[in-house]
Amino acid sequence: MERADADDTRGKAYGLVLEDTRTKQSAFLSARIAQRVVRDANVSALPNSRLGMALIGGQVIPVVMLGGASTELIVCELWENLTSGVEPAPADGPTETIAVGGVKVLASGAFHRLDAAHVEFQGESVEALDLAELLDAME
Amino acid sequence: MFKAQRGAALVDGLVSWVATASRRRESKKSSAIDDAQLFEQHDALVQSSSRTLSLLGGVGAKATQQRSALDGVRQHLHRTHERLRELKASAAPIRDALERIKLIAFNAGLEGARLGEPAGTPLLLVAEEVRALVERGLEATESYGAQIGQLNSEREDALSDLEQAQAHAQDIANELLSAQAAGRKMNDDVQELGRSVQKVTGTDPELAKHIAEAARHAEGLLSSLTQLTSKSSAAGALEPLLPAISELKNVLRGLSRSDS
Repeated sequence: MERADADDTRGKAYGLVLEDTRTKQSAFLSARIAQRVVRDANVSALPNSRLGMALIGGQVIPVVMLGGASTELIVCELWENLTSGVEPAPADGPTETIAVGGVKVLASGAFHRLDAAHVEFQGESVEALDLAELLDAME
Repeated sequence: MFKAQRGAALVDGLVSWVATASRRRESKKSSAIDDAQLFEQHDALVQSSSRTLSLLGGVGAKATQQRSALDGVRQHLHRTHERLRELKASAAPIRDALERIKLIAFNAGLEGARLGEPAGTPLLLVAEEVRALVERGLEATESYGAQIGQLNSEREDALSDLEQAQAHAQDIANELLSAQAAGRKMNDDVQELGRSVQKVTGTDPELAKHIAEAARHAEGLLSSLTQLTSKSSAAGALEPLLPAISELKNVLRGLSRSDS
């Protein structure tokens, strides 16, 4: 976890740093979107789709596979008109639960925000994952 | 005085007779000594052959013990393989538990992140500390697994060396069996050689030894008596020897007649 000084809260972004298990590329996911990390959930592939399905906490949730095989899934809450960046603006209204798979969680907590779309992790700039765009590309 | 003169005459006669007999027996004596030496050499050969067979038997027993010890080492290595497999298997649940704790740390970090600072700070700190400890634990587990792998690799090397040693031990055992067979053959040959020598010389080995021994004693006696007869003052001292010399002369005469 990358921590900033206590009085520098405006320069921080909260969430997870992930790694694509296939490309090994890192990405940041805001804690406003990421709800929790689960492991060992069985993901069933959907025919003719890049999505999968998993039973998590008694609920069937669609799974977006970013990389290859992984043991971890990140349960996310999405809302309409989701904005991109390290701190997507929250909105009232219905939310949709999805899970992101094919990733490995590297760290969670507070990270130095470099700009609206990047945080710093272990001295490297990490771009925020744009889930909305990703989902649009899958449709 | 009379007795002394008689003794001197007896000794002179005996010396003369022994010298004559000695000359007459010279050719036979040397033949008997040669035979005796041949039989002595044969005896030495028999003893060497028996000793060789005994040593080969001892080496064979040691080789058997060595092979047994190598088999024992092989069993130890197999048991070590089982232990290593168990140790490797025991690392899996440790790793799984650490991964789960790391997941808890990530989720605690997420909760702390949602709370923001300062409310979520304690949760973030604990989550980070737990995650760091889990990472150290996972690294130790990895190192543990690597060391087990290294041990297993060394065990396989040892097993390979052991197999070579076992093959060599088998070769040695085969060579020893051949050597023992050759030793037994040699022993039989030596025995046969003894019989052949006896047949060729026509002499009984025991008799040849006695003749050679008697010849050596006769030479010694002759030498001593010759020295005595050269001293006139010693004539009286010969008196106690007279009965024995007389008896000896009779025996020698008898032997001389049987030789001729």
